[in-house]
Amino acid sequence: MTENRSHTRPGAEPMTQQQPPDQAFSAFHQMKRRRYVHYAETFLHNRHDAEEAIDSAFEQLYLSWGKVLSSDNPDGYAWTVMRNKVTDHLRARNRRPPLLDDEAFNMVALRDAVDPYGQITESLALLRAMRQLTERQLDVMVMTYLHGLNATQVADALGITSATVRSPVRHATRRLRSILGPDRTMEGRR
Amino acid sequence: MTPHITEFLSRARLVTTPYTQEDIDAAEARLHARLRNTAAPPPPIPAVPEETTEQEAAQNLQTLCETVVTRKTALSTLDTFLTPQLPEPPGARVLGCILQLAESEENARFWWQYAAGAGDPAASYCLYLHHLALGEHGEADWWHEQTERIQSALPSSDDSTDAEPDIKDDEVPDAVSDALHAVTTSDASLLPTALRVLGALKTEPAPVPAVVGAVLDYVPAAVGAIGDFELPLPAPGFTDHIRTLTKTTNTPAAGRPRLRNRLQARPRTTGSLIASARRHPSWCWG
Repeated sequence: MTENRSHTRPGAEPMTQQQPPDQAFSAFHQMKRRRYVHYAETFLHNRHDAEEAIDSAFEQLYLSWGKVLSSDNPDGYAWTVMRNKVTDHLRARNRRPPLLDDEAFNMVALRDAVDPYGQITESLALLRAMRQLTERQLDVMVMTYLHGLNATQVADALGITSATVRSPVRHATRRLRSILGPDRTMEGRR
Repeated sequence: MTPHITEFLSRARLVTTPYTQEDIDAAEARLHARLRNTAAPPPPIPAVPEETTEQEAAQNLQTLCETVVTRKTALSTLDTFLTPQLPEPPGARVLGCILQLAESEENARFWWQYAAGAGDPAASYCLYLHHLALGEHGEADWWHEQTERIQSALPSSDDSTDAEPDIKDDEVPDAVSDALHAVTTSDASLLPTALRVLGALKTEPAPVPAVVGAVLDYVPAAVGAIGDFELPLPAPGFTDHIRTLTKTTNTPAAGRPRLRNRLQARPRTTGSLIASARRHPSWCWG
């Protein structure tokens, strides 16, 4: 399936150099830091590693700040840099692709679950199924459902339009349904 | 939407430890300390090379797949995929390229991984281009490494798996024949050069053998995620259908060189272009 990978937000202001580079960069950092750390935490599973990865990402963004500013889509560019850093950190640590599985133990629903074992089983099945999504689909689903952001917030984080958020959500949901559908057990088997 | 998936997703919220303004400020201080020793950022530069690389990779992948698929031996190679034992890596490679051209990218990736895992460098290179085109640089680098690793582990060129008698098509210049041959042999080190040559030589639409066109139309519908394992396996009857489609090209008259498929009148240009080329005119030959 083909997806739109670089849809610039219409009406997004081009980044100018009215402020000196460090001020614009600081503003950018202030704006993005929290979302990026939460994203990194989801894959790296602890705050310390997430901070390291995001420090590293912003360092790279600072060093290529000219590219960021002159890009058609600075948000998208920055997101990609960040994502790659998270992947790099994961590879350096344990040579596995980014796995969400451990987050099954970190779900809000688990806190008050009547059947904690059942809840963990369900969460693991869902997170495991999400491995089959494309990168774009995964990012959008993580931000939307695991982090609870709305379409505009997801669009801002990724540097895409709200419409470009809805499409992967649809496809991903369809895909997940086919893996976890009603005629299957929660382990994903018939 | 069935209730099931909506419910699962509604229960998927993570507990997030708050990230406060203090945390942000502390991070900024760390960053400034770290960057104090680095040079100031360079002045803004025009268009980002990375985007061009991604587009180039996508173009190269398209070229490579078209080449693999339209090669005269493509169908006989695909046939090796359908043996009762495990599918042969080159056959899986051809299937992957067909799927890529038919925009079934996830399935393409699966079969390339299969072939690459079995040591097929062309498939490994396809994966490199595939990830590069998607901007997935970590993955791309990894597959580039794999290609080189496979390459160095191979004995010197051996094309026995999809060899054919050395037939030269009159209309194809030597450089292109060499490039075509290089692309589908085990020697993936010639791939970048081959792709440049092919890209430069695509000056007019090349008619796709009608049979290959039929295979291209048929395969994506027939290969879907079936069964419990989510493998992109061909549907039952796939083998028979492909054999029916391919048997017309596998019976050359004795003594006559096998050129392009002549069973049908030379198709009109638009009718003979690869399916995806119809959908993306900018990626047509020429």
